[in-house]
Amino acid sequence: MLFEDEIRFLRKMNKRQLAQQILNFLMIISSALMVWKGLALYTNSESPIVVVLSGSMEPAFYRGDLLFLGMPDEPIRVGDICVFKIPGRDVPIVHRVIKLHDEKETGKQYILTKGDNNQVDDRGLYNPGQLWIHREHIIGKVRGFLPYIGIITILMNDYPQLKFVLIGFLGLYMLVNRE
Amino acid sequence: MGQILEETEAKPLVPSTEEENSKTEEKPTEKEEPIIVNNSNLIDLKNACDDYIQKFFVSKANFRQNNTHTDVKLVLGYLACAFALSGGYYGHITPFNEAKEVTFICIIAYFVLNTLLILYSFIYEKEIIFVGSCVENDNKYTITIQTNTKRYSDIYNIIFEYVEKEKQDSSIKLKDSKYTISKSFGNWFDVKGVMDIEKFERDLSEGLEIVKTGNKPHEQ
Repeated sequence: MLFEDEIRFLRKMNKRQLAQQILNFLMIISSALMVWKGLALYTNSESPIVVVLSGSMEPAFYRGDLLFLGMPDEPIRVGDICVFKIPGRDVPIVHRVIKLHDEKETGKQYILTKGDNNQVDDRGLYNPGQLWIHREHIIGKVRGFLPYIGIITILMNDYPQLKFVLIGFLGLYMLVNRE
Repeated sequence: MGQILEETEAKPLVPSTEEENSKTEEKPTEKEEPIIVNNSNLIDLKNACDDYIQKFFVSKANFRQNNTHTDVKLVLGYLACAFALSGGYYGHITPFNEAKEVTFICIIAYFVLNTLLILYSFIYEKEIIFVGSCVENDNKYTITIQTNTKRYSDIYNIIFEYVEKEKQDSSIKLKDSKYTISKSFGNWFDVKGVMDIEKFERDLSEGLEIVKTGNKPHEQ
């Protein structure tokens, strides 16, 4: 039978040992979660690390590059490379700010973006009728990048089964190994 | 074939084989599964011994296990996880900017609880793997077992600590004794990693006897 040894290992344990084993597993998940959330609060960005999925910012960023984001206290400026999310869509976009208007009274910013490698600006990408994006749509400004590392994430996105297999094996390994 | 069958059937009748027969009958009454571990893995060896020590003192030596240390650790751990996971979930269903305060509280709670957990096992639990007590004629006996191994060494140290609380004319007398067994795992495991349970039990009950009576063994 598959995982026979593992099942026997779990059977042999008493209540408290089993609880401890499950706790070890939960601890890993929650530690990772808390480190991520802590990083998000520290950088003031909803998702402080993202992976580039398209070539629209070549030659600055290629598919699979890892980007580190931060949210500045000062207003966004023309030339900043920003990651933003258009309402109603899941996948964030990383593009450069090419045009910007500040509203004097409220300080509200009207921002237009464009991919370095695209022929036209992003108005075609925004929701129909939307001409500008605003600061609340922006997840963060790119502070640094690491090339190629994110290709693992891309692979896992392209083949979701891979993700489940990997997580499943790691989970099982955690559950049936002590210390 | 027939001859062999005849022989095995005849066995119980032959007095000289009675000894052998009683041995084979004893095995199922023990009902103990053989303990087999990877004997090149020190952690596996220690875990197997630690587990067996707990089993021994509960089922063979009639001590009631006191699980306070484990329970405190489990409560702290699960509480920390509850904060982390609920904070994560709350952050998932609310916009980032609104969830900031709650997320912050959850992170702080998680790290505080985790620190407490580490401190607890560092200060109070240390290397204790078993705490048990038994009550006999108003006298309370408490035994604490600590075990440890050194890195890259096959020596397993078992430290017995035995506290006697005797009630004598409304005054309580305390007696405290300690004894350490330091032996190589090779004493209790063969080359295949099978634990010699009988031998291990003998050593444990010897240790218990010494610590109970306060007599130091004369040999050694």
